[in-house]
Amino acid sequence: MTCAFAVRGALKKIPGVESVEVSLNKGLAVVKLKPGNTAKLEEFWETVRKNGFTPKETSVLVRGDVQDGKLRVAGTNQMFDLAPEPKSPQALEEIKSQMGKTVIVQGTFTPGKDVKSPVPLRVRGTEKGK
Amino acid sequence: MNRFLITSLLAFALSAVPVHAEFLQMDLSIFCMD
Repeated sequence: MTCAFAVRGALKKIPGVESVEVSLNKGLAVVKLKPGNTAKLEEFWETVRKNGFTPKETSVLVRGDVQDGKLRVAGTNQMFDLAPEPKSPQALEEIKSQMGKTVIVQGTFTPGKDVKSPVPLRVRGTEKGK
Repeated sequence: MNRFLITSLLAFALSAVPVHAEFLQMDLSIFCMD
């Protein structure tokens, strides 16, 4: 109980976070972010680690621009390599066809041993940006 | 003067472009360290 409360509070303090729900039963922390945020993925992983948890697979909904086969998240200027999700290989092709456009991507990141190391975004699905 | 005006207008125009790019939601799988 204390663990969940602490990690929830720590995640909520990250600038740009709108709400956090933690379920230790499910081993899941769902973070919703405010429009226009500049939050970085590694900030969340580091916060989870500092609060006694190990971050694992992270599903995200992220809006960005497709450039040279990568996704640029302009809020942070981060560039993410795109990789196929085995269950949805066509999703990556669909994203690559949106070169130069803003898209909303549903995908997953898996942190490495060093949470600051860049990892690719495995693409599950997409919709055109608004 | 003209160059300054153009530069200012350009800077204003660029700053006015909405940046629609960010993380919307994250579902973090977390496990307690032993």
